[in-house]
Amino acid sequence: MSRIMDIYKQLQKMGANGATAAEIGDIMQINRSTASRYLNDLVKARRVIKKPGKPVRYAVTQSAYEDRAESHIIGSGESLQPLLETGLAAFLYPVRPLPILLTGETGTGKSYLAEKLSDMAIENTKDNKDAPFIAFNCADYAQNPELLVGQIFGIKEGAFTGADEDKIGLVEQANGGILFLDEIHRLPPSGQEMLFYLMDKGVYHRLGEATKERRAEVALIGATTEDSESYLLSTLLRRFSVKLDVPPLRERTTAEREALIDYFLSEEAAKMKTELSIEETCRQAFVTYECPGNIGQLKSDIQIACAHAYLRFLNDENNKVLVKLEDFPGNDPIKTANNEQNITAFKIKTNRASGPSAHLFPNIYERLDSENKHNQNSDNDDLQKVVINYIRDLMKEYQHPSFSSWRDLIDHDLFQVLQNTQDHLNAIVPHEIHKSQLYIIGLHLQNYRNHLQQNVKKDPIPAMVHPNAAYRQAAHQLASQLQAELGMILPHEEIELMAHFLAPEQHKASDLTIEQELAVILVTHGKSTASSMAEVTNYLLGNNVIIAIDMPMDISAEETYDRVKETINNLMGIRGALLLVDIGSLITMGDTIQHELNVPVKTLSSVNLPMVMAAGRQSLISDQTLGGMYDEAKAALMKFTEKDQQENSIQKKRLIATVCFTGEGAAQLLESWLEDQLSTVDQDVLIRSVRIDPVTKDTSVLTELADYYEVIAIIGTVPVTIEGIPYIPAWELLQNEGISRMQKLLEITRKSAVPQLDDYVSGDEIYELIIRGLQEIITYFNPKTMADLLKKYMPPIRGHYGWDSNRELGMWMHIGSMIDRILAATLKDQSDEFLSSVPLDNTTILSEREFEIWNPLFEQLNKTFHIELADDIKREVVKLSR
Amino acid sequence: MADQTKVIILCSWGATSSQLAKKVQEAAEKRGLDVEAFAGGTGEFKEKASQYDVALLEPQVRHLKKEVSKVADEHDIPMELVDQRAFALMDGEKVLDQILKLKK
Repeated sequence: MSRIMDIYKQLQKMGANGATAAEIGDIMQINRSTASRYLNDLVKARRVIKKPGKPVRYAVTQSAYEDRAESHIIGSGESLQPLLETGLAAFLYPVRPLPILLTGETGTGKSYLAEKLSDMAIENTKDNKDAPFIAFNCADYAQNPELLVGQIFGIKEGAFTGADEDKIGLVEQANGGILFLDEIHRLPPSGQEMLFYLMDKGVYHRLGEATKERRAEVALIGATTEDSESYLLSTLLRRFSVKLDVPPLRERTTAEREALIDYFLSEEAAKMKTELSIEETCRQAFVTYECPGNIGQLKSDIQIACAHAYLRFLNDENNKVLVKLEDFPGNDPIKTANNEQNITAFKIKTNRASGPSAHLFPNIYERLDSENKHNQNSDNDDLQKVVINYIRDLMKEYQHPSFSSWRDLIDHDLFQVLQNTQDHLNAIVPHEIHKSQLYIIGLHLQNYRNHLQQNVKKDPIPAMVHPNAAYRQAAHQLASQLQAELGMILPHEEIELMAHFLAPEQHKASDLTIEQELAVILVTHGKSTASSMAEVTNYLLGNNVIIAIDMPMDISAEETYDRVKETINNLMGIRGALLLVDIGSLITMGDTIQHELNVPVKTLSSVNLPMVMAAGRQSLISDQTLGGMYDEAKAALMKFTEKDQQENSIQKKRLIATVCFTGEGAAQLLESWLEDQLSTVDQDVLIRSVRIDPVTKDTSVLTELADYYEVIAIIGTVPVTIEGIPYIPAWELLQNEGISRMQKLLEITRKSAVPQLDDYVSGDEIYELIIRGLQEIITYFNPKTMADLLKKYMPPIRGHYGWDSNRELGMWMHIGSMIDRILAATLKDQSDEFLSSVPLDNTTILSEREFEIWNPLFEQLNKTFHIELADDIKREVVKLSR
Repeated sequence: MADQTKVIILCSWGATSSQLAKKVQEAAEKRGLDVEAFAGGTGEFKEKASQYDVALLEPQVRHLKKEVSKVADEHDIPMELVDQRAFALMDGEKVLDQILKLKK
């Protein structure tokens, strides 16, 4: 493989004139016929053309001849041109390249751009073509800042527990080349300082290496999402002399978007080894739909659509892979022309040039294909499962549809005003106003605005005057801005309340780490079992409460004993330690340590995650005893093993508390938002909004709730500390990590250890089920006709409302049974009686979008069954769907 | 007679639920069980809840579960979603099983 590339490169150097096979053979020191074979392969791959004549000359194809890194980038001639130019100029800056910071929304292709810029830069330097390009995503180690910094700068042996050998850092690897740090805002402040130092002086230290100064010459590219800019130290931010903002998809030209779509489609086509086409309507859908996850989402949505189409092809419904509108996974339904004759399909040219290595996802099609071939009567279900899992994996990348909608809670104009005022306000107040505070104020005002619009009468809140005049002044400033720009008039007490929002949070997240008087030490066999469990728990509890000691195979029991003893000995002022261990000699270790160190130690064996969680929570409670913690952790073990349902009745109900200063603003908004987000398996979770008084910060309501409920999290705009309950700031939910933290918390507190796997019914299964079900209850039509019709028209409707399978299946049945009734009534001439039996509601108004998605279905029903659906009936169906 | 089970199956306005109730009734009679199956819309459940021993909610009104379960809780009536596969198949036997299990 590399030989063929060498030949190709050689040929490239020889330009348009090219070379003969013999000449190539001479240069490459291979015989002529081998050279000729390689050359012909290149011709087949269309990278090289044959020039007629004797002997035949070979030359790289013209487009490939100009094949520079730059020309691969879609948009290099348009929206991205200024970016590429500036970026390249920064790299080629005399003496030392200028550091570049790429900003932009998720999925805009920052890392792709970084890579391409590096390619171009390396291509453009005269001497050092082998300059390294090292890319690293700081998010990979975000849960362990120490290790993250260690990855980048290197670690000296013994720098911290577990650092048992010297480790070269990425900076060292990238010396003389380019280092790309994605999600750079994940670096802890200490790491940012080290980076700043490196950029400034070209020197750095390995972790744990205080004296030795190391030198490295590294061109740095950092990338961060726009939101996260506020997490960067301003000193570091300033050090990036070149800042490039990568435009979101919506700001790029239609032509570029089309080019991207074609490119991704051709990538898929190359994977399939069979002809791939796309209907024009579907292609248009991809061109026009709102795609908040940008290029990344566009790509995965296209992959999802292709996977759907491929499944149909496998099921022999089509003789080639045709991506239809129904495969389009986006939320927005498209204005479909109803006349089906007009459907044109475009054949996709495969994009072999990109090579299979470029595909991020495993080649699903080959897997399916072989499964199909090897197993002639292979179960349709199995194939379905493979595809569904694949689609689910893709979906996970872009949590669509619902989670991104959270940001949309705040009206654009409102948020705009807040953003515009930020600088102004910063001039007034002593602390810099954090972006998250703007979201909080935005949420609060949005709710206020909603109430105003809906004419909700509510008791005025008492005016609570903030002691600091600066914040009050800022609040008044903001209020007058809101009035000037939006005509929004806030009453006095609301303005006073805003001062509280503008004041800095009383405790920063780091201050929340409570002095632990009881230590929890987790020791297990295996390379990373203990540290992984501890990581999960510490992350979920938002505190470093669990100390992990791993016991890899090559470490003796004595060594482990010493490490545990040493760890406990180093903990200052603890009242006791709980050892959580798995098996063997670890179980008895605690007793000996207790004697040696004179510290109370208790040991629990057969540790599992619920135990670690319980122990972690208990260790945060200030007046907890070692015995009490031991009992709670032990109970967690029992709870997990005993599947006795009787215990369910005494188990507390799960609850999430939302908090804000009023109990009606952000907390209420969060409450309803959370309710929408809870999946079927979490329907038992109650959500309560709680008011936290801005002055007293009294949390007794929450403590009381904790007595009656299992409070799994407190979410809100006011940081509160309740022992043993994790707090998630509202703004964190704006980011994927906050959401995943919430989901994890829900997951581990679910009562049934086994999630209801059969809860999911796939679209095709609904189809099969409904045909049989309708058979049972209907009289006047063929169930299959109905099922075929619904299968065709339901997907956009399901997508619009974001139904789960329960609701979709229910609606299929409902529509089926309803049509049967209508037919019966029509035949018996009892239409009026029928209509009067339907509870009519004239208040339902169809939105434009609803009209668009429902109308094709209604019209088809009318046409197929020769009926005329009354508007009342239509309204009823739509109402039921919401 | 003390052991009679009255079950209400709820949907939007009693269209599919009356069909399903019929199926459940048939299944119960076949087994010789004293079960009476009713159908109704979620709207009217509030007033009549006290008459029943068990309530089932059809999948298309799943989003109303919270509301309905509040009412059911008040009257101490066990309530669940109809198993979606059993519902789709209009399988009276299976739904009857679900009712009997729920009543325990």
